[in-house]
Parts: sequence; structure tokens; C-alpha cells
Amino acid sequence: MKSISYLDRRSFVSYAAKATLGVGLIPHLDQAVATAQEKSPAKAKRLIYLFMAGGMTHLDTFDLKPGHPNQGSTQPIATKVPGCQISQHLPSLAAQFDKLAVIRSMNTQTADHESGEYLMRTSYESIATERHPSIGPWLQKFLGRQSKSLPDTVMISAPARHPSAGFLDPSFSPLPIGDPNRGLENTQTPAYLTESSFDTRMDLINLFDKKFKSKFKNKQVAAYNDLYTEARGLLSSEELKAFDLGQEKPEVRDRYGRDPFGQGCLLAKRLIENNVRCVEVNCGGWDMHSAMFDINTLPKRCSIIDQAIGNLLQDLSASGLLSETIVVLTTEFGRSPAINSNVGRDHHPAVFSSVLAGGAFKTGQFYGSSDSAGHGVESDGVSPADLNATIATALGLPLREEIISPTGRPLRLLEMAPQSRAFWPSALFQVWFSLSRVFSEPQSFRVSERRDYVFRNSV
Amino acid sequence: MRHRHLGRSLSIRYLVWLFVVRLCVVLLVAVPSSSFIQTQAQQPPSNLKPEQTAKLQELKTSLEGIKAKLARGDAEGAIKDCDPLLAHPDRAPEFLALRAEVYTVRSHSQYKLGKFLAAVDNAYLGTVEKSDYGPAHRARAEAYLARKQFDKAINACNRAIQILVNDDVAYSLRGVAYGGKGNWDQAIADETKAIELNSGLIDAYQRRASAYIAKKKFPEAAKDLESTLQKQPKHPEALCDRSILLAMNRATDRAIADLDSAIAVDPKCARAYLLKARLLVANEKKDLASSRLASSLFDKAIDCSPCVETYLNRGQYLFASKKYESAVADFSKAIECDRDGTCDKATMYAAYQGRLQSNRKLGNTETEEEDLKKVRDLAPKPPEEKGKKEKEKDKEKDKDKVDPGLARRFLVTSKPVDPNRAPQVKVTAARIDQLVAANYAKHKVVPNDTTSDEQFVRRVYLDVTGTIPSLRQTMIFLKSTDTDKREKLIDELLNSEGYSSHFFNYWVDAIRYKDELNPSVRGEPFRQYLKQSLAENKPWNRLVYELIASQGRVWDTPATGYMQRDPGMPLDVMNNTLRIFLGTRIGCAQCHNHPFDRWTQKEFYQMAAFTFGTHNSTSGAEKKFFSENPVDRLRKEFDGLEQEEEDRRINRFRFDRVIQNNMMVLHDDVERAIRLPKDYAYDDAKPGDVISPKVLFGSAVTLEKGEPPRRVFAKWLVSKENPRFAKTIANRLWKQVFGLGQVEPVDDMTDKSIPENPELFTFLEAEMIRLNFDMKEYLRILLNTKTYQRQAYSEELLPGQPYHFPGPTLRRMTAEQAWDSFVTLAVDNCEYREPKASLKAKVVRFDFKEINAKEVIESEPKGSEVDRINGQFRNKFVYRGELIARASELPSPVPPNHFLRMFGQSDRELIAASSSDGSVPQILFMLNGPVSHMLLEKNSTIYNNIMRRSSLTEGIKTAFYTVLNREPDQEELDRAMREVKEKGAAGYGNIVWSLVNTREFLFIQ
Repeated sequence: MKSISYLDRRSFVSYAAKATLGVGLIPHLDQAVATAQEKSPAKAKRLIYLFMAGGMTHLDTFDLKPGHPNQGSTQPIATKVPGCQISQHLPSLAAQFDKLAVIRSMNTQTADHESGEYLMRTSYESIATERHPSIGPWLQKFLGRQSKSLPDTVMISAPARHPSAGFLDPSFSPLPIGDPNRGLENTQTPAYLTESSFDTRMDLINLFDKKFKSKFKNKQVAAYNDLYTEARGLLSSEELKAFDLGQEKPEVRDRYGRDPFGQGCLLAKRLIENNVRCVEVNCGGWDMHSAMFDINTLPKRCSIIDQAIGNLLQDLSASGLLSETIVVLTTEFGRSPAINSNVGRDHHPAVFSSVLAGGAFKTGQFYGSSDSAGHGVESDGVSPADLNATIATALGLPLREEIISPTGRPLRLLEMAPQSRAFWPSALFQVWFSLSRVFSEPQSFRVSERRDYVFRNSV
Repeated sequence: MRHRHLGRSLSIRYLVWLFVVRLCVVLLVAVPSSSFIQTQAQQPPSNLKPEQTAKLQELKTSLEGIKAKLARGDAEGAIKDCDPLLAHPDRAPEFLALRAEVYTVRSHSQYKLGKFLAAVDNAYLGTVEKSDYGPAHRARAEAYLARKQFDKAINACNRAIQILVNDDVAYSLRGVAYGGKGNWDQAIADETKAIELNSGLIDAYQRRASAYIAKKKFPEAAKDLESTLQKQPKHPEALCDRSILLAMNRATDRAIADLDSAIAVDPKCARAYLLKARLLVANEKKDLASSRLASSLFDKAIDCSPCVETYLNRGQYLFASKKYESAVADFSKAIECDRDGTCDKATMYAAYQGRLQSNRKLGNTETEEEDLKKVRDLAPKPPEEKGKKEKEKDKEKDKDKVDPGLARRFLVTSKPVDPNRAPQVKVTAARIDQLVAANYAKHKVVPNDTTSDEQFVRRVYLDVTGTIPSLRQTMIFLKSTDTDKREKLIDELLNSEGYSSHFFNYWVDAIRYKDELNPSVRGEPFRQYLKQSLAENKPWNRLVYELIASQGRVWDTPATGYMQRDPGMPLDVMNNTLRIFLGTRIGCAQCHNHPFDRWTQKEFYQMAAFTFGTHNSTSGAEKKFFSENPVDRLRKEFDGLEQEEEDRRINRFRFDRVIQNNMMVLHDDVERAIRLPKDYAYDDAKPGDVISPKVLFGSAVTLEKGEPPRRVFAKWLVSKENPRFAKTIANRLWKQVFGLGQVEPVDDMTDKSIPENPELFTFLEAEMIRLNFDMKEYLRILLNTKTYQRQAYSEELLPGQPYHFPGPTLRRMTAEQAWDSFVTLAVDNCEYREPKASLKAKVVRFDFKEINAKEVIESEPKGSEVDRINGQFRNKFVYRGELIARASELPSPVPPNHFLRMFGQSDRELIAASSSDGSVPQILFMLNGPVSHMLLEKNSTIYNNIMRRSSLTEGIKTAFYTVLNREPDQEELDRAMREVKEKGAAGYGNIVWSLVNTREFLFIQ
């Protein structure tokens, strides 16, 4: 005789979900948390996560070393904030530097793309026995689902190896969009099908299914009945338009750049405006091992992101959404300061840059620094876990809440890579405290509260 | 006679061709030296320190000196002087720009010396220093032209034009390159553009004239030559060109006068010698003096430029003079000169044809085969009559019908079940039913009714072959009156290819198989091995033993693919292996004693010790495999290869990659010992202690000296004595058949796990052992039970609720079953199979003893070529971007937006990560996806099935039988008939679409 303890946890969780709200709908597991969030007005509600795949060079974007032999041909330009310079290739971000908090002391130990990406997206090292969730599914896990018919997280041009929902129930999985220009696929009813024949077909389905449905009253079957209703609703709903870039004026689409990343950012903006909670947009092409200063390599890649992100920030700020939306720009590692024999830069995890914008971040500043050669961290080192914890805090997630993975491992949103676990309390304390500078004043009390909590925890 | 015809048809083309080569050598003179420094002005403001500025100035001055030296004609001196400049270490942007210029000057110097490869490389190094230094790209283009690498020259010109914008020289050079490719219109356009930009660019007029000649626009050519010669009366190339025009007007003497003056200006002008020689030969006087002169002129041409054209010309002359042996020598020389294969087809055709004919005259057949093949390949295609063309097309169509691509497919060979064992199967099945029934009584369970034939045929096809049956298969079964028809069908399906496909899908989910097993090992050989092992019914214990214990490279021992999945993660490998094959989870004990089970951290390490010494790759220095380091030898060879610097750099990566792939030899280091972690916190051992292998449970093992512990572990793992091995596979297959395991989850058994029916479970385990792990036979027994053939459970099955198998559970189709069923509805006999892994292995796998560096580099493009052909074959089966083939033939994992992933196929990152939950995008796929619509199109299987029926009733019944494998009831039939009567064919479309969108379709009852 079996009992609940013999079930694997995944099937239990998903069962619980189905039993209460039907398949695909996740119970507001942590309704209390969600309610508490709403009380603090400064809390950000949405996240746009921009991932520069391949390893974005820090020396040629946000962390220049003018005059140093490592610099190569990239020149610095002044930004809106006096004394802060970034790359000549990012003029529109320079003009909006007051909206950015640039971290120049990111660091990890992995120089492999796949592990680096995994670490950045999950805070954990990748292992063969566990799959950790990325931030979007965490959000949904803790804050509950926001949209009834669509997943909370959408990922645009993401690689197949994206950690996605990790060990969480598959219904937490982000919705993948391959090509932003095509939007959500399979929503176009074929031309030969009129609205009324769609209804006819639904009637036919119900008739043909009558006996089966009356015999099998099982929840999984019922869940599919609900899904058909939901999908039918979605197809005729306004929500669907959020995925359709055709709704934007051509000028607007041109403004963001007609490349996948530009259009991805525009789609991200539309989705955020339509209440999707988290959108990840990927931008490949940063793995510049050779001829990187060639006009088609670094300058082109930079101009793509500059145009797209510049417009995104501008539009979000104009509509007022930026104050409740966090924009993160990050990558799996930086690139070696020394230029190699092919005039490229190689993988370099020891220091690199990331950018935070929006929400209640204290922007218009650099946080942390690299040494004069751009080689290592000089001050205020930030790990992927720190960065994710910062994002999570800004979004009001409970960092220390434990989730038990299906393999029985207790996991938390805020976690250090296993090998540094022995040190984390103190390291965390420093990082946490110092990172609080990234937040503007009204938030700081909350940060210190958490610091105490962490402190207690570590004793 | 044939040869004469050939010679004549080529001669004009020839003359035109010849200028290209020689021309390039002259080009340099025409490049204005001012262009060297064109981009300097765009430099951003300087950040240089004063001492840097001074040094920069000093280097600039020396560079001016070098340029002057070059202008004086001392190219060698110029090259030497460049070295100290390049040795300066400063890499500030200003210095990088200067270096680019130095390299460009060095490129020009090499060019002047006729060292064109070095010129290409130096220009390339210039672009590496400063990618937007236009003159470097231009210099590279020139050098490529000299090497007759026209496509590369065009690319380089394009870059130069992109950077320097309106650069006349770059346009003119591109014109030459296009001319070289035979694209005379573009050549004329480019030269015109060059003239437009700089009317003083004399060469451009002459080049355009040459292009006009090639286009047979003689008046235009004459006009351009006039302009050229007006500005530079002794332009040798223009004189050559004019001589062609004169000769055509039979003004032979004036033509020869022009050529003489060309030779006077440029005594190294091979083209002038050739033209003159040919004129003399054509001038039918045939006196001894003129033929002697012609002969010496041909020699002279070769002296000036020993290349394909000069040798070919002399060869043809010698042939005409009946000096066949010398002719053969010249033709061979010509062929040899085209080592890089850059020469155009027509010229090479002439060379091979010449050698072939000469040899025939001599009765020499040595090179006959090669020459004939080349001649056939290179022969100009004569325009054909229309009728003939159509015939050819038909022939091609026929070819398609017996597609040679089908031979690429990997097909499994199945081993059928033994009909003689049927009586024993019945006995055992009855025993199982008895044991199940005992539990019915005990738990007061009422068993479900027996399935109808309609329900059974659908279910058993899905459970064994992974797809619904086709209409034909359904009808054959339903119409059969054979009392044994169910038994027979079970046997038939177990013998079919579908069995292997379906269980392949199951196992790759469990073992997290990926086509890219790791960055250096492709999985195709492994997946095909797995399919074949299942098809031939390799006993489970042998299969698992091979997975765990194999050594070698995946091409030779494909079973090693299992251990190649997680290189560098020895602890995780052990953890996963025990979970998959023994249903035992020790993962928690990796970091601490297991909280819910009895395993300690030490025990974990004792287990991990068995496979800790397993290495995924070796290296050239490994004495066990190589007495001499082959990589060192190959590196040396690589360094000695003649190749462009840019290629060398790219090839170096390729070289390393290919070597690495071939070094992926799974092997064991018997000496490598595992140690406890530094934070080991228990009393039974100290942190850092060496741990020796010891099994978790079952009979203890002894390690023989020198035997890899991995092999010892594998033997223990699969032995009949292992308390969990047979149990796990018996339980897994039980779940596959009945929907729920005797113990759940199937990969997490503990000592405390209580099976649903302990007696039954003990019996199943014993059966598995009695059958010697014969999986087909075991499944055959289960499928023959009354329990399996009962109707599915119709009530809600709560998690943890005891289930006593009144019948199998109701299950949603797996992603693969849903996809494969769609494929069955859409196409008859889906013919696509993945291409044989051996095709690629043949070109990418090598023996280090036999390979040389050139072959190493070439193996990668050869592999890509195999991929390309495989892709072409694959594309024949693509419909609206989807490859229509069984899920087991598709890549693993498929992309996240694929039908399979939407329906819950695993991304292959975690063990058994597939899911059967619904989602909105999944429904959208069903409603509007390409696959649903494929069913509604003409010539889909279901369309054909329906259209073959004469009556409406039959048509509708066919639709139901095809999709749901059952007859419609009266209400359904009436409604469907009304639909078709009202809407005709569209009505059928609505019916089919609605049938596949029913829950009845998606769930297996």
C-alpha cells in the first residue's frame, strides 16, 4: 500500500495545482507574500532581463580603461552624469546614464558558456542531478500567477538549454518565443476558417467527446476541457495582441532596430505593458574571439543593443512604467583585457559588468570596480547570486524561503555556489550591506532588516 | 581534327584570359601611394603620452623611408626594414594604425617580388591590426588576383570599397576579379565606376577594353584602348589588347608591331609573347623560320610566367606540331600548376583534353581514366533541345522515386519473439492474473470489463509501437475472426520496428540522452546502437553492462555514449546510474548522510570510487595508447603546411577540435583514488581520506589487480543477485504497461517501499530473472494478461491512493505518442529515418597512426559535407518547416517550441523529465498548428482514406476509424452526415479536425 510519501514531489505539487484550479493554473501558494508586496508602493512589479549571450566585453562597453595598453581602439565618451564615462559605441545609453546603475565588479569562476549562463540565470552551478529554476518561474512561484491564460514569463530567442522552470512544475515554464516578429505561434486561424465554422468545430468536438467525457471523470481530462475553453477565449481576446508587433507603427519598430534583439525589446515592452511579469530577451554574438573591432563585430553589436535598450528605457520612462519595472542587462562573463593575436578577447569570468535600471534602484552610478587593467575585482565584488538576490529583493521576493526540490534538496532563491557555501554568511553580509547602496533611500530600511535576518540565520 | 576545333574555339577566350594574370603584376605600379594613409584623418583625439608621441613620429619617419625604398624598386630591402617597426610593442590605437600601414607596405613589397601568398598574409595581418584600414584590404585583393582567387579578391575589394567609399582602384580591381570569373558585365560596370571616380585611371580603360573584347563589343573596346594609349602610348596591356583587334581585322603586321612594342616596354610580358606566337602559328605561312620563332616565343612566355595558360598554349602548339610527348609534358605541367583548383573550367578542360588526346596518339593509357573523368566533368554543356530536356527531367523524377537517399537511412533489424514460447506465456500471464485477482478480493475491488477489440487495438499499438494503428491495421484486426488474434497482434507488434522506436523514446528520457553528449562527442552512434539493441532484444542485463563497462571511442564502441554524457562529474554519474538502473537514490548522501534513507556519505563515496577513475578522453602523451606522441608530430606537420595566414589561424582551432574529438577515448585509470571531501563531518573517517570501492548492498565484490573497478561495478550492478536490478526493470516495464508501478516512483525505491502487491512483485522479479532479462518476452506476458486487456480505470486516481489494477490507468499520450499518431494520420509509411552515423564517422574518425595534418584539417569540412547531404535528404521530408518523421528520428532534444516540447517531451537535462500536463500553447498547437492542418490537405493519409470511399456513410465511418479506431454511434453519424451534406469537402475537414481535438484522441483508454 502506497502513501503520499512515496510519491515524487513533483507529481504531488502538480496534482495539488490541478485539484484546486485546474491544469495550468497555479495556486497562489504564497498569497500572503503577494499581498504584503502590494503595500509597499516602491516595489517593482515586472522584470525585463536582457541577456548578452557569448560573454559581453566589459572593456569595450561599460568598464573602459582609457590609456591602458589593454584598451584597444574603443574610446570613452562622457555620459549624462558628470564624471561617468562609457563606451563610444553606446551613445544613447550614455545620454540616459542617469537611469542606469552599472555594476563593474561582477565575477564568477566559470569560463564555459553553458555553465556560465546557467550560473547567471539560477545562482547555482549546473549539476547533472538537479535543474534549478530561473528567475521568472521563481517570481511566479512566490507571487502567484498574474495572467490567467498565459505564463507569467516569456523568453524571447532563448537557447534550448535555458534552465527555464528547473525542478518546478512544468506549468511554471516560461513561454518561448523564437522569433519576435512572429510572436506567439499558432494563434492565426487559417484563412479558410470563418468564425462560425470554428464554433461548429467546437460543437463537433463536444459531441464526439460526449461518451468519453462522461465515462472518464478524471481531473486530467477535465483540465483539458478547461484548457480548450481558455484557449478559445485567448484566441478572441485582447491579450493576444500583446504578442503581435504588427500592432506597432512601422516607425516605432524601426526605432528599436529591425534586428531580432531590437524587435525582442519592443515585444518585451508590449508584454510588460500588458501585464506579463517577466520577459527575457537574448542577444547573441558577443563571443568575440577575433577581429572584434571590425565594424561588423563590436560596433555593430553595441549599436544594436544601444538602439534597442536606449529606446526601451526611454519609452518605459515616458509611460511611467520604468519605476515599477526592473531592467537588467547581464552576460555570462566578460572578455580578457589583453587583446589576443587575432585581435579578439577571450573568455574572462574574473571581472565583468552588468547593468540595473528601473524600479527603485539608485541609478546614475557605477557600483564596484575592476582593477586598472580590467583584469580582476578591485572593490565590492558581486557574484551572480548577489545580483539575482538584488533583483529578487527589488521585486519583493522572500529570499530565504526554502523550496524542496524533487530530489529532496532544500533550495532557496538566494544561494551561493556550493563551494563557497562555507563562507557565505559573512560574504553575504558585506555584499548585502554594500549592495544596499544600489537602492535608493526609502528601501534601505528593508535591506537592513534583511541583513539582521541573515545575521540571525548564520548564527 | 577534334583538337583543332577545340583550339580555335578557345583561342579568343584564351587571349582574353591571359591578360588577367599578367595584368595583376602590373597593377601595383598604378596604385597611388597616397592611398596608404587615407584613413589616418579619422583617428579620434590622441591620448598618447609625450614619449609615445615621439616614438610614433620616429616610426612614421622610418615608414616613409621604407616607402621610398619600395618606390625605388628595392622590395627586399623594404621588407627587411619593416621588421624593427613591427617589433615595437606599443598597442595604442595610433600604433595599431601604423602597424596596419607597415603590414600593407610589406604586402606590396612581397607582391613586387612575386610572393603572392606572403602578400596576402601581410595584407591580412594589416587588417587584423586595424580592421577598417582600407588599403590593407585593397592590397589583399591585389594579391588574391595574382593568385587567381577571384571570390576572395571580390570580398576584399568589397571591404575596401565599404571603408574607403569611393575608391577608384578598389572598383577597378573588383572589375578585374569579376572578369576573372567570367562576369564581364559586372567587370564593365566596375571599371566604368572606377573611371567615373577617377578619369585619370588609365588601367581602368584598358581593363574595360578587355572586358568589351570578351563581350565581343569591339567598337567600344577600340574606343577605350584609344583612350588608354592616348594617355600612355606604351601601355603594354593595351597594346596586347589592340593587337587582338588588329589581328581580327587581318592587320597582322600592325598587330605584331604592337606586340613588339609591348615586349620592348615590358620584356616580361608573357601575354605579348603568347599572342605573338599564336599569331605566327595562325598565320599559315608554315615556314621553318616562323615556326622556330613561334616555338621560342612560347618558351619565352613560360620563362616569364610559368602558369597553366603558358604551358597549355605551348602544349597545344606542340600537339599541332605532332610532338606528342613534349605536349603531354606541357599539359601535365599545366594541370600541376592548378594545384589550388582556381583555374576556370574551360581552361582546365582544354588541358585535360589535350593530355588525353596526346596520350591517345602515343597509345599511352596511364592517365586515361583520370583525364576522361575530368574531361566529362568539365565539358561545356551544349544547349539542348527542349524535348531532350524534358526527357531528362522525367529521368530525374524517376530517380527521385527510387531515392538514392534512402540508402542513407539507419534501419534497425528486429529479432522476433519465439512462437514456440507462446504456451508458457499464457501460463505465466494466467499466474499474474491470479495474483492480481487475489488483491481484488483482499481490497474489495471490482475489476473492469474486458476491452472491446476497438479499444484494445488502439491501446496495444500505442503501448507497444508508440502510435495509433493505421486504418488498414485497425480494419485487419477488427475483421479478423481468429480467436487468437490478440496474442498474434501482440507478437507482431513486439517484432515490429515501432517497438524499438517507442522504447527508445522511453529510455532516452530516463538516461537524459542528448545528441551532443558533450562538446566533443556526438551521440548519433550511441542512439543508433540503443535503437538496434532494443530491436534485437538484447537482454537488459547485457545492455546495461555494455553501457556501464564499455571502453573506447563512441564510433567504435557506441555504448560508451552513456558514460560520455557527464564528463568531469564522477559523483553525479554514479548517483544517476544507481537511480536509473537500481531505482535507488543516494544523491543526498553526496553532501551528508541521507536524511530519509539509510545511506551514509561514506557509502556514497565508496560507490563513487568504482567509476572515479573513468576518464572521458586521453591525450597524445598517454603512453597506454600511443608509443609516440601523434599530436606533436601532427602539429609539426601543420606548421609546415602552405596555407594563408588567416586560414592557418582558423585551421588551428579546427585542428585542435578534430584532434580533441578523436581523443575522446573512454578509459580507466585504475590508480586514481577518490578522497572524502574537506568538509567531511562524520566520525567514521577523516576529511581527505582515500576511499576504496565497496558496494551499497548485495553480495560484496572483490577487485582483481589491474581490472578497472568500473567493470567490477557493472558486473555487480547487472547480476541476478543484485537485489534491485531485476526489481527495477520489472517495475519499470510494469508501469509502462499498466500506467503505475508496483512501487512508485520507479526510480526511488527504499528498504521501506511496500509494493502494491508484494507477492506479485516478487513473482515479477523472479520472472524477469527466469527470462534472463528478455524484455520483449516479459512485455509479451504482461500484455497477454487479462488485467491488461481490461478497460481503463475511469475514476479519479488520487496521488498516494492505493491502486489495485482493476485495469490499466487512463493515460494521456506521451508527447511522442501524440506526435507519432499525427504522423500516422498524415503520411503513409513515413519513410524518413535518421541517416547512418557511420557515414559521418567514416570521415571524421581517424587513426592517429595513419593520419597527416592536412587530412586532420580536411576531416571537418568533410564532416560538414556529410551533414549537408543528410540535410538535403532530410529536407525532402519537411512540411512547413516540420520534419515529418517519428519522434525517435528527430534530434534530441528538439527546440523548445517544437510540438514535442509543447506536449511535454523532456529537454534531456534531468532523468525522466517528460510531462503529460496540458498548457494553453499546447492547445493552440492542436487548434492552429501546422500539423493539424496537414491532415486536412490533399493527399494526407486520412484525406486519401476518406476520398476512396464511395458513400457518405462509409466516408464518415472511415474518418472515425482512422482517428479514433472506432465506429461512430448513430448520433455522431447523423451530425457528421449533416455537416458534410451542408459543406461538402470542408465538412469532412471540420470532422477530422474535431476528431483529433477530442480528449478521446489524446488519452489512451
